Amino acid sequence: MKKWVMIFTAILMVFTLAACSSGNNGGNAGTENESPSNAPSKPAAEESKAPEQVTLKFFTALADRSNGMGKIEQSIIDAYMQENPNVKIEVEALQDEPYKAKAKVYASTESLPDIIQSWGQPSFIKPLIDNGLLLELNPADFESSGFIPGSTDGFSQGGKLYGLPRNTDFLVLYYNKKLFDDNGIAVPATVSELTEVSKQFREKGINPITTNAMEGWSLPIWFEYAAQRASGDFGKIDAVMNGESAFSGDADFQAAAQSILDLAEADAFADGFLTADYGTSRNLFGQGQAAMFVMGNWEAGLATDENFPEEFRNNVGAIPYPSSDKGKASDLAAWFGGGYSISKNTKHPEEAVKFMQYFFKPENWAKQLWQTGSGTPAQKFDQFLTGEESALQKGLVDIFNSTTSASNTPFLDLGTEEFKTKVMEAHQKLFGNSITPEEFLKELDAAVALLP
Amino acid sequence: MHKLLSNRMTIFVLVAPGLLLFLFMVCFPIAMSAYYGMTDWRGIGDYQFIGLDNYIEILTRDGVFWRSLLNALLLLAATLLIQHPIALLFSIFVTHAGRFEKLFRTVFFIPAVISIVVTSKMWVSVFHPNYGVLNKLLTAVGLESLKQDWLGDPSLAIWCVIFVIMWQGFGYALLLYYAGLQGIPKDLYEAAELDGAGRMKLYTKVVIPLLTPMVRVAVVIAVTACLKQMETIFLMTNGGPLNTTQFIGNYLYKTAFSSSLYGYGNAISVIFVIVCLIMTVMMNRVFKKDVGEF
Repeated sequence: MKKWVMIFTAILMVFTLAACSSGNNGGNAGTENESPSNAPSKPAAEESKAPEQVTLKFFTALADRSNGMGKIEQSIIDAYMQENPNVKIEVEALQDEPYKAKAKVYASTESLPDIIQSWGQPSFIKPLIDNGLLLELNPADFESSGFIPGSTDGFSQGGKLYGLPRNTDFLVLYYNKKLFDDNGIAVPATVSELTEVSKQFREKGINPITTNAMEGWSLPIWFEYAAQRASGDFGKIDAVMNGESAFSGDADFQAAAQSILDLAEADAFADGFLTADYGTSRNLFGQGQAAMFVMGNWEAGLATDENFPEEFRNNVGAIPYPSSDKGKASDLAAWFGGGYSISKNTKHPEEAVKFMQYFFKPENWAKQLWQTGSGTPAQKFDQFLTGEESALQKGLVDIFNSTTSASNTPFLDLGTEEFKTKVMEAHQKLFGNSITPEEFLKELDAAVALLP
Repeated sequence: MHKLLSNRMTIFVLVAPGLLLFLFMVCFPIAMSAYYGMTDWRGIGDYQFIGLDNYIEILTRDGVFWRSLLNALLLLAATLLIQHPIALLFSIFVTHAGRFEKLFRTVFFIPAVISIVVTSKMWVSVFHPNYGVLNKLLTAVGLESLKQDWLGDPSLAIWCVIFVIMWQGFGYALLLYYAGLQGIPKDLYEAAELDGAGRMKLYTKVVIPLLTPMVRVAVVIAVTACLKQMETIFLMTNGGPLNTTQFIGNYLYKTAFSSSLYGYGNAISVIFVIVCLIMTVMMNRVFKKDVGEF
């Protein structure tokens, strides 16, 4: 008898855990009950004097609602609800990775919320457009928003617009002036100086460079810099992505991979580099434990973040990625990243568009984003310069204004999610100094081969 | 009562709700997974039936899958050979701790009741190469040469993670053995003593054999826990650096939700089920021998 009880217990346990994993994975989990909106929807033309009650679901990856971009997003939503008492906007906010995972579940069950955060990059937006899940937008509705020319390209397909960009993003090298000055080390201007500087910091027992290598998406953009500095042309990677050439066997890519490996061999990457996630690496830099931080311009708030010592806040600066004899410091890895799209299945397309128009009024998103130092909008914002920006913000604007060429969408986002994972893993190996440049380029080619 | 249960219809009616629940909540999803595992579904849009391609790929070419499985076995070995013997020793110690019994019982169980998120993040901080307590401690006692990049070193990370998982599960294992010891009648100890058995003999000949049923339960729990390990890994390293600390649960989550390979992820989960079944059969074989009763 006891034996049977044991067998039964064992089987039951195994099955319970198996059910957990398969359930999570089946894609049929997470179908949340969509509560029907309070009022029946009516065509806009018939709208009577008493406006109908409308509930819009708003799904965003700005999880921190009390700081930076998330705070601004929330304040615009609150202001809109105040001005339009008939509209209720329900916000669901998750961190980047969980957001993307849940967005996929929503998409696969055709239950996307009314307004979602989207990225104007094929890896995210293409499957949604291809499967007819996003509402086509009329560019004329947003003319007054003053979007920078080209910024909506990533959100467009076949000449149709499916989303609106929120930010202008570019990758820079943040540095801690105090650490440089105290140790008598000069800010690097060339790629070889960067390696040299890293060695000097190591000798002093200070972590040279940190970034969020655990998540891994900053590494391929960093490699784009290395490749541009080796070849003088951001377009070379695009050519590979278009199937016109390959990574392997190309002297420039080889040199680029080697330059990253040189950094790795000079011990340029902070201790625990590969296991540092976004928060960890940002903290390491902010607490003065690392001299440089490779990250996007959205970190302008480093200069005002009170979680960090004042000494750091007064000393944080930004420089462009160092130059070489072929690539200039003004050649910038820049792209238009996050934004919003409207679900095709929304019951209130007019209301959703109206809210987006309000959101992207220059005096709302663009002005607030800039003046709080939370990032750089994808809209014209020079009318909002106050002259009271932090030194870091000014430095970032200077970098952006001097751009001579730009990379556009990071190449890891030009393919499928699978491609992205493979590319990031190959980079982690390279930065972790566990493969040769040749093997690295081969892995990149293998990832490209996976693309449809 | 006996008459009632001899009616097949009654039995069926009584069993049906549970059976249906089991079918729809457990068997049906597994069958669905097996089906999706044979497609190239990417979560959104159409998919194609590709037969056993995913399964073959996993079993023959997917190094990360095998690494995940190996890690689970490493963890299992460490749990059974290190954690459990220590837990058993400590449970004996706690049983005889007199007026401190309650205190020790609580102290040892604390890691098991604190949220895994908290303890995992705590250990990440402890292991941090720059500001972690461990390296600071080594520096303080003059053992600077032993300082390591604990979680960042691909050859070291898995051992650190295994240590943390064992630490987290220690209280639970201890409690199981402690409960087992409580279940052994006191008069058996007295009888053994009267018969002239020493301390050592008492434990090897009387106590441990009588603990066997509890050991079985503990082992079953350990095996399932090791195989399904996910949360600590997810929170500490997410399988990194370079997939050296990957476990199957986390790997299939990553495959499905980060790489959008739902079909492939489903195939991994089905193989995972099969691995679990094999483990169950093996455990039953091992446990077939009769146990002492009292």
